[in-house]
Amino acid sequence: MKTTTRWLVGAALAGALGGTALVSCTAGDEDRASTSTRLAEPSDLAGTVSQDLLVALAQAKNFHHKAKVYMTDGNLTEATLAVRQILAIQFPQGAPEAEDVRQDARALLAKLLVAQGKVDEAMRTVDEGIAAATRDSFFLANLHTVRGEVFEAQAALADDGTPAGKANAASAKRAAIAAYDRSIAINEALQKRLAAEPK
Amino acid sequence: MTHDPDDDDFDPDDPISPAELAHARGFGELIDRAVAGRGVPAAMSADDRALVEVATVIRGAAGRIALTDARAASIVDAALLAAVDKDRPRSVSVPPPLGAPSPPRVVSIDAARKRSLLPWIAATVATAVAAAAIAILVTRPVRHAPSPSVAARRSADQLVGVITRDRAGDAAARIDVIYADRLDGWREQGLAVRSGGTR
Repeated sequence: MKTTTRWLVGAALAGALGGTALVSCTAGDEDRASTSTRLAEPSDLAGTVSQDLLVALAQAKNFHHKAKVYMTDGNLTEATLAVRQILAIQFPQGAPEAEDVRQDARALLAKLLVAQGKVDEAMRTVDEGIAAATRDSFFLANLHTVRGEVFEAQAALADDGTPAGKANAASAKRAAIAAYDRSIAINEALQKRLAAEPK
Repeated sequence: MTHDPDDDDFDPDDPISPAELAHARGFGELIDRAVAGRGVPAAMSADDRALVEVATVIRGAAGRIALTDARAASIVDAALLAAVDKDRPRSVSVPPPLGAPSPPRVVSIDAARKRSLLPWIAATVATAVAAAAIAILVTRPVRHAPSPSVAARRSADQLVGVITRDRAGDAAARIDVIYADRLDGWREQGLAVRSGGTR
């Protein structure tokens, strides 16, 4: 084989492999945009905001304002329906906002139900929210506050002037105080914790 | 018109024609060039070429070919060098005299062999480098890009703070705050991605 031919073969081989490596590196750079450097969803990296989370929050926001319009119009039934729809919104897996928004919706829903005289349903709504809580938050504390209001409503309904009614009312009032105390305790603990966190 | 010696009508005593005189002068110049070592034209008639070769042989036989001083000195130097350096007799070349076209350089067999291996060495090195690059590309760890909004994103508790009893049902205002903050974080993420995550 002539020297020139060898040079050509060698250069072609080196060029092909070098080109392959270059293409691979370039492809790797592109891949990193979709794998290595992809924006993680909240489920695998806390702190980021996904488009799904924004959509869910926007839906909750719209239902709340829809309910507000119905409330100002005195239409508590439609307002209640609008708030119930917030509980059915699908949030991204692991998004902490889901629990907060649902607890806040339950608090408003319970107040609406109380306003319509549906005290027992209001209590169920609040209790379900408290049972589903995974952590302490101002929203959970607010839910306990509303639970206290529901107990107060029960007390008012129970006090029919009879001794039994008075006893039931007193019991409900004690439960209301306990609920308020629980709310205060959660708020205080949370405020201390947040104050201790670095800004 | 020229006279052909093979012609039956040819008479040696005929006067010289102008054409014969011109041809003789041209041939004389040709012989002069050959004797002076200046070469002969590439295009010649077969008769002229044969005559030039005969003239060259006759001149060589007469011992009239003389080397120039520079040529003679270079040959002597080369011979002396070869006698002194017996290890490199094959690589010794006779330097051409000044002004003469340089002859092809004589290269030793070892040097030629080494030179013929150069393309393969270059190709091997390039292959090794490309293989190393591919190996690094394949085996490098996948890194997740840090989210630029991790530090900026605050919890819903930090955003809304303690929920007082008189604001227990004001969920619409709180969802507005949460949504606005998350939308801000979403936009920051988009800006960070577009600017290469250099925030």
